[in-house]
Amino acid sequence: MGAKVNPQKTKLGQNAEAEALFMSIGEGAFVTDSNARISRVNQTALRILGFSEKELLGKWFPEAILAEDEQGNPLNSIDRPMGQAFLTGNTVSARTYYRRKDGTRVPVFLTVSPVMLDSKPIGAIEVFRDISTELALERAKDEFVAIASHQLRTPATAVKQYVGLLLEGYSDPITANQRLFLERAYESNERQLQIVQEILKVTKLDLEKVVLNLETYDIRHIVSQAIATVKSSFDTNQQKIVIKEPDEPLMAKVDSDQLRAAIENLLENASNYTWPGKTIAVSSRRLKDRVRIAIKDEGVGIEAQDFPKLFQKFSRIPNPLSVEVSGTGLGLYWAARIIHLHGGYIHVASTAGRGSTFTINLPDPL
Amino acid sequence: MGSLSLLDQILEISQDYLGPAAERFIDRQISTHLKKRPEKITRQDIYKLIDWIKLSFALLTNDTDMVEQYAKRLKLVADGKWSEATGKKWAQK
Repeated sequence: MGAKVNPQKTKLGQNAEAEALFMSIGEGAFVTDSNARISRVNQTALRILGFSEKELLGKWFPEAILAEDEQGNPLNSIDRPMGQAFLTGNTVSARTYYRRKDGTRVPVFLTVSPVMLDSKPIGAIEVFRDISTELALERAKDEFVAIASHQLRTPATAVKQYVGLLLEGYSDPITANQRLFLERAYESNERQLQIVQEILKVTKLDLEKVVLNLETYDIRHIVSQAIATVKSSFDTNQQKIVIKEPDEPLMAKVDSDQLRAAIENLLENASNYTWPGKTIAVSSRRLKDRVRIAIKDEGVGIEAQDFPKLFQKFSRIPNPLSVEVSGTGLGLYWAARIIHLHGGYIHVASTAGRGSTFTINLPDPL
Repeated sequence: MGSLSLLDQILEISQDYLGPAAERFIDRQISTHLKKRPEKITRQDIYKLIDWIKLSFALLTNDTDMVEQYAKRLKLVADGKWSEATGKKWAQK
C-alpha cells in the first residue's frame, strides 16, 4: 500500500514549487492581477530594474514600470505589449525600453501572455530580458557595414567613371568586342553601386539616422507619383495597373519622399513577381482609425511558411520567378521599417500561385 | 433607454469611462475576442467580454473602484437589468 497523501499538504507543496519555479526563471518576470497591479516579481526583474520587491508589489503596472519607444516617447498603456495581449487574447512579443529606478533606460525583449483560469482572463504574466549587449553588437555590426559600404562606393564610382570614359571614346578607339565587354563591366558596376547604395540606405535606418519630415499630404498624389516612377517596369512586363482612390483628398501626416519610396518598393516587387499580362491593383482609402494603401497583384504569391522571412534583411524567398528577379533582399525590410517609423505597419495576405496583397496602414491623426 | 440595442447600451456606458474612444475600444474588443460584428453582440457574449474589457480598462486607469464600477454596469446589461432608470441612477453617482 502506498503512503497516505494529505491533499492540503500536497497543495501547499505545489504552491511552494510554483513560487520557487517563478523566482528561479533566468529572465525578469512579473505577474499582474485583473486590476493591472503587480502581484509577483522575480529576483531577475528586480536586478535588471533596480527596484526592491516592496517597491513593486501591489503597484499599478503602467505607472511602476515605465515603457518607452526607441525615441524615448512614453508608450501609452493600450499600446504596451500587455495592452496588445489583452486586446488580442494572445501572447505578444516585443522589443521596448524600460526605465530603471535610477532613471536610466534599459532595452528589453519581452513576451507577455494573458493568464487564463477556467477560460477566464485574470491577469498577465510577462517575461523579459535585458538586450543591451545584443543591441550594442547589432550597432557595431551596422556601423561596420556602413563604413565598409561607404569605402566600397568610392572606388566603385571611380571604376564607373573610367569605364564610361572608355565607352565614350575618350581614349583610343575600341573594337566591337571591347565595347561589348566594357558595356557588361559598366552594367555590373552600376549594379554593384546600386547594392552598396541600398545597404547604406538600410544601415542609415538601422543606426536611427533617418528622421522623418512629417507634413500633411494628400496620399492620392503620393501614390500617383510612385506609380509614375514604376510605370516603365509595368510596361516592360506588360502588366496592367488599376487605380482605385476616393474622390475627395486623402490627407495624412507623412514624410512624402520616404512614403513614396516605400510604395515604389512594393510596386516594383508586385511587378517583379507577377507574370506578364496580369493586373496590379492599387487602392487607397480612409478607414475608421487609419489610412490604408493596398497593392494587390496576381503574381506568384507566397507560401505560408515563408511569411516570417518576408521582412527580414537579405531574405530571398524561392518562387517560380526567383531566377528572373535580381535584388538584395533589402527592399521589403526597408519599406517595413519606414512605415513603422510613421507609426504604421505593412500587412501581407497571400496565396501561393494566386497573388499577394501588401497593405500599408498609416495612423490617421485627423 | 429600453429601446436601445445591446451595443448602444454598452457604448453609452463605455462613453462615461472612455469618452470618444469608447466606440473604437468596444469595436476592437468585440471583433478580436468574439470574432463578430459589434451589432451582433448577444447578452451571453457580454459575459465573455467583461473580463477582457476589465483587464484592458485597468491598464488605462489606476482607479480600481472605477474599473469595478464599469464592469458592474456592463454586467447589468448582460443580465438584462439595464434601463433608463438605472442609467440615471448611475449618472447621479
